[in-house]
Amino acid sequence: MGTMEPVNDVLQRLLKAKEDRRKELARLPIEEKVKIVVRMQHMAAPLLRQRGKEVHPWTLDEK
Amino acid sequence: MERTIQVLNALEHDGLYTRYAIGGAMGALFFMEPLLTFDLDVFVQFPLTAGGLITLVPIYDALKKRGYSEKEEHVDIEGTYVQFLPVHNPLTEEALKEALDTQFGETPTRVFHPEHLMAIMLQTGREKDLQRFAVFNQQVKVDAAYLNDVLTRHVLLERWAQWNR
Repeated sequence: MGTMEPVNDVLQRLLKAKEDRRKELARLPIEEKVKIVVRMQHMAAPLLRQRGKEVHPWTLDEK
Repeated sequence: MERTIQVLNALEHDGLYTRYAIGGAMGALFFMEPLLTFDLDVFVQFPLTAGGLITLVPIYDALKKRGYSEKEEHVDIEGTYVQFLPVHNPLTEEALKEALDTQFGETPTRVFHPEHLMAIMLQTGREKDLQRFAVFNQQVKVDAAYLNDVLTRHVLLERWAQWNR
């Protein structure tokens, strides 16, 4: 982090980390993915409603 | 969502439809990274009627008896917005017939094969299908021979080639 690097190397590393993170998310159990989707719904709903779209974020059933 | 699936299983058990499977964005979610969606698309096969007509009303009535009301073709079942979609062409019929048995938590359910999800994205062909297809194609390992069979059977090889450019 502290040393200087060429910008392309930094970008490549960042993009690789992003891709790895997405693959990691894709491998999560479905139950965990649904929790993430519901969080996304609650984040997106106010913005979508501002645009006039009617949306219904889900509620999670916790055991 | 597990309780939602339990209700879907109960409706199948009660004969409201002969078979169901999860498709659409939530179906894709079983295989790819989380993506924003507000609908659980449930594809259903109805028992054959003499006239060959179908109606979703018996499903909505059965759900109403259980305390879940239909609103604008969606039903809030245990906090999840569900849309029931009758299989409507040879591709969705095949996808439902060959759907994978899986689990959500401890509850059994079914989801479309990734190869059928891809074929349906290609066939539907909306902008959001194209975007989802691109990510799905990158993240999900598919059975190339099975996919080729599905695309050939449903005349989707040309679009596959276009979208893979």
